[in-house]
Amino acid sequence: MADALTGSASFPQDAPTSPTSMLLPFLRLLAISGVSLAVLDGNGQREVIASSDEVSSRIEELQFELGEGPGYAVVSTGRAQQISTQQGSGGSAPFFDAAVQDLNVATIVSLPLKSGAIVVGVATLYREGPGLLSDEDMATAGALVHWVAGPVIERAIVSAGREMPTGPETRGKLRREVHQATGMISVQSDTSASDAFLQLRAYAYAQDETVEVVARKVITRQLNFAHLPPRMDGHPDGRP
Amino acid sequence: MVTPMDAHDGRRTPMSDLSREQRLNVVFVKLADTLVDDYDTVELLQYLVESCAELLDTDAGGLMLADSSGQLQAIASTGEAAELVEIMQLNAGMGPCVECFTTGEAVSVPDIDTVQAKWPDFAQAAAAGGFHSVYATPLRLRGKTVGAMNLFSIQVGKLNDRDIATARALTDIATIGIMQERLVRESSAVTEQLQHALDSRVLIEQAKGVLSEAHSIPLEEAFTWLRDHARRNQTSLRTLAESIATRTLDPATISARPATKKRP
Repeated sequence: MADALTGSASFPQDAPTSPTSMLLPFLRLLAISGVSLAVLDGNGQREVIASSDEVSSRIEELQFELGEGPGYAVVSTGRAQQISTQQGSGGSAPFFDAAVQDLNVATIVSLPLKSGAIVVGVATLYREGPGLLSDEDMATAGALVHWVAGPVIERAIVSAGREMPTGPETRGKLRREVHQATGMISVQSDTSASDAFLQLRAYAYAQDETVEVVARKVITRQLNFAHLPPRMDGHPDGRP
Repeated sequence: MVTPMDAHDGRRTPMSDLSREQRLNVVFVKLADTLVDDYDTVELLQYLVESCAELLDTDAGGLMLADSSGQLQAIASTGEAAELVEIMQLNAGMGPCVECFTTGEAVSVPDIDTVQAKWPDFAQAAAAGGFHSVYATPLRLRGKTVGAMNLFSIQVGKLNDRDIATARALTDIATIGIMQERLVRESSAVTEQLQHALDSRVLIEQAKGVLSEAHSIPLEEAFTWLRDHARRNQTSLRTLAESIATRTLDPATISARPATKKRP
């Protein structure tokens, strides 16, 4: 219960039972503005299970759209990453560095959610005000991701098994609409699902829209990829 | 270096100290090497039992691990004779190995004849195997006992302190190996379950998209079609979804009701 944690700034004793109770200890114990928790699917994409606010969701979404960012570095290295948005990633994620400037975010910390030695997800923390997280905060964050990893995995398995997302939560939908739109585009463009997803992502990037927004247009049939001018992304066959 | 002083608290003349120390080094290095590589737990334990029986002042060894229901199972032994005794212990559910496992403490039986009354089945089986003393040491890590190793001797007498310490050190390494292997196995099972659940969801949503587009039906209805088709054809939703999402199955062959017209 979230109530059990209210008012106490001590490390949680019990396993969290809801997305709120997964997130609250991060916000209470660390000098941060927001946090999101995501698991990795078989293609290395992250599915957000819980997120404290829109900015946190957007940080995750940006990385999903651009295919780069600190969360990817966590997965490849297995280690926590801390970046100051002013300094950027040092060249490893130039598109993400540029895009994140539009958000009111000074510092991003990504930490691995592990099952044993295997990275199964990523926790993303951000801070509006300047300054990196202290060593002590990083240690606390490390203990919190350890505490929350199991419950996040359980929740992901349960939500993936549900046909429709239930409850008032708007997050933890596992990008259902994006996958549905991907299936529709694969018919419209007569292509594979992975190619259809790339088209969706390229279109969103070209239109400066989020993948989620474009996906919704596709499933509400406001947008049909069969009616788009052929290839916007430089097809290898070289035709315009 | 081991000094000659140590050599005489035992009941028999131990192998030359230098040779013992060198051989002990080889065993430790091999166990440590095994742990940093891919290894098979049973092979690791077999090596441990054989090394202990050979290095220590004993004649045979057997190792038992608790299975998921907490029952001890013989995993490794130096030979059939030792295995026989282990099995007797298991069957009787009584003996130094079970006691060692239950209490988490080492159990020393310098003369098996003296435990005739306490563990009659075990004493009889041991005597039949030609053994007269036994030392059982637990496989423990952070208070959790996962099994026990038994070292048998054909002679009466206590295992010397140095051998006891060596047996302890070797079983500790093996225990770390067992726990590590279990952790890796459990975490990969969790990871697999997570990937399977997420992948199924992705495939089902994509298949709904494909059907919805191909048949111009709402997404919710596409799901009903999928589910009904899977039921009718006694296939799993995931398998069907995958063949539609990867378009190995033509979405035109899926319909709301059992097909009334001939399928292609």
